[in-house]
Order: sequence, then C-alpha cells, then structure tokens
Amino acid sequence: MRPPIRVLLAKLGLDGHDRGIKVVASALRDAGMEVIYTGLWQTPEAIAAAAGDEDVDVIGISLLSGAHLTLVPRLLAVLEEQGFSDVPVIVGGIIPEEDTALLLARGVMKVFGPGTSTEDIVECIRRQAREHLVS
Amino acid sequence: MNSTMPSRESLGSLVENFRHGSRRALSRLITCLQDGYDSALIVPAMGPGDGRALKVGLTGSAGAGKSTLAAALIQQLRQANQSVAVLACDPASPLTGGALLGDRVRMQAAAVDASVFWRSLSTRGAAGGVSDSTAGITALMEQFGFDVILVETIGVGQDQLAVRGIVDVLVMVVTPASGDQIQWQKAGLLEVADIIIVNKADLPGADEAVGSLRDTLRVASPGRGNVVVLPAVATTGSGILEVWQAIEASYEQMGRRQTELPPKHELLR
Repeated sequence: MRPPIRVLLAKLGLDGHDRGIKVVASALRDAGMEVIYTGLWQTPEAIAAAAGDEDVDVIGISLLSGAHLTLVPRLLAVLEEQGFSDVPVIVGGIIPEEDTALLLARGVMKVFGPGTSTEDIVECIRRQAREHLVS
Repeated sequence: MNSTMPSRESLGSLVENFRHGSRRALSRLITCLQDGYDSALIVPAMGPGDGRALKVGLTGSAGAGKSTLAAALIQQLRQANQSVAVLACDPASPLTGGALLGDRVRMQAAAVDASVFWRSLSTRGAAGGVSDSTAGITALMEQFGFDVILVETIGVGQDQLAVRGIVDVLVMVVTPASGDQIQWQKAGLLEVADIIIVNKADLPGADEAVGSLRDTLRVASPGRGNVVVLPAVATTGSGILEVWQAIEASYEQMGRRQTELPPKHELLR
C-alpha cells in the first residue's frame, strides 16, 4: 500500500484568519492524507524549514491579508534557495484574479479562491502526488 | 518526495549525504523508515554516531501539554547550547488512515533554528502510543548527532507503554484534577515513568495533585518513592528549569543503576 500523502499547511504572514485552512486540514485528513499544520504567523523561512524537516509532498499556504504578492514570491525564493523547489506550493484565500495569474507565473502550482470545494483541493493534491510518483 | 521509495542507488547517496550532515538526507531517511524500510538495513549503515543522545519520552493524556512542554524544553536546551530533535506522534484515523499532525503549532518560537529538528509522525495505526518506526528513527537522529531527542507520544492515558523501551528518561505529563489516589494507584504508565509533571500548575488543584501523587508513590508503590513529581506551567516556562534538572538527574541515576543492577524496566509486553 502506498504511504499517505504528506501536506504542510501554513498561514503565511500576519493574518489570523484560520477558519479556511482548518476546514482544508480536516478535509485532507478525511481524504487519508497526513496534514502537518504549523499554525499562524509563519515566515517564509519557518515554512521552508518545516517543509524540509517534515519531508512533505505539497505545501499549502493560506493568506487572507492581501500580502500574497509580497510574501508568496519570497516563500518560493526561500524554498529554491534551500533546495526545495521541487515541492509544489498551493495557495488559498482571498486572491484577486489578476494576482492569481501573477502567482502562477511565479511558480505557484494552483490558487484556490473562495467557494472552492474541498474535493477539488483533494483531487489537485492527489493528481500532483501521482505525477510526482511517475516522474 | 515521500511517495516514492528510493532505489538502492539513491538510498546509498542518501546514506552518504546523511554521513556528511545533510539535514535533508536525515528527513528523507526518516520517511523511508516510516514508510516501511527496515531500520536494520539503514541504521547500521550509518556507522557509529559522534556521541550519545539523551532520549526523553513525553507522554500523558491528550491536551495535558506534552507538545508545549517539548517547546519549553527546547528553549531551555537552546540556552544551554544543546541541539534538539523532536519526534512528535499524533494518531492516524482508523477510518481513512489520514492524520492531523498539529504539534508544531506549539513550537512557534523555535521555528527557525539549525540546531532544532522537528518531525511530526502519524502512528499509522500502531497501538502503543508511538509509530512502529519510532525506535529506528530515534536511532537515526542519535547517529545524526543531536544532544537531546524528545519523543512525544500521542495522547495516552494508562497502558500504552511502547515509548518506555525507546527512551532513557520517561516523563509523564498530567494536569490538576486529572485523578485521585486510586487513579494514580492503577497499573500502567505511573509504574514506569521516571518523572511526573503536573502541568498547568497555575490552575486550581495543582498542589493537591502534586501532593497526592507524591503520597501515592511513597506509600503505595514500593521502590517508586524516588520518582520526582514537579509542578510546571509550560506556556510560561515556569518550573521548566527544574524539569530539565530532574531529567538530567534521572539520566545520571540510570547510568549508575545500569552498571549495578539488571535493566530497570523489563516489560512483559
């Protein structure tokens, strides 16, 4: 049997709105994944360190603060610096459409906005893990 | 990353990188052990480590404060310039196999520190309060060269004792109002713990809990009168220095006993 997919979920930056990420955490757990939740107020450096120690397949970031164009590219840069550029990053929260395109262009795998069904998130992560297995 | 087992060649390069102190190789090898690689194939290949780690188990019921105590101990140990690895277990769902590994939430202050390694583990259905791979992973962390390894069990109440055989010093964490003398006299963890911490000692009933635990150990548990019972408030750091001193004292005592007597804990299972 294939071991469970490991996902790191983190709130990036000064943003205390964690209801969404907790709903996602439960949905991924119920889908059979191992969810490592870091909690609030994470820096890019802390998220990269956690992703490394925890050897995760995917990183899920939640932002509702509006700071995504500053913080997410910084996170991607730190991940690259530390040799974790192969770990895909998914972003969720309040991200305007025009910013979504910018984040995808910077290397974010997927952006999920309000109204996303948890099934879509589960499916996206599973597909990613399967592809990783083949590659 | 973790969804694929490494081939023999890449396992070889992982071992090589591990020997050169690669933290990522350590992390990757932990995944291999957790995913079912035989630790007998990996751990001896590393050769002897630089030293010996003090391995401390943290056990007790869900919500007693094990992770918060681990975070407080990390701060204490970092002040003394000791490196620390934490292995924090949380339960897997018996229905889906999934798990919410939430112990990291408690360690905010220590989040980025090259001398602190923190790994969250699902028990993946194991019954003893820790993952089956815990002993192998602990050995791997020891070979990596950490000074102290903290092994945190899932929330357990009475008889999940698997961690006893893995660590040098076992700390049981309880809270005020979590039991009376009869509760403490029941068989299980209290028979094998070296130190008992009454955490959240700023809550009412803490003094009574410390007193009744000490009394029970002295009066009703032959040979257990020297078990240390201490109050602490892990969220503020109150009492944590004393907890660490008790752990070190217990470790030294254990060393002395081992040279004089047969192994202290011969569990029946």
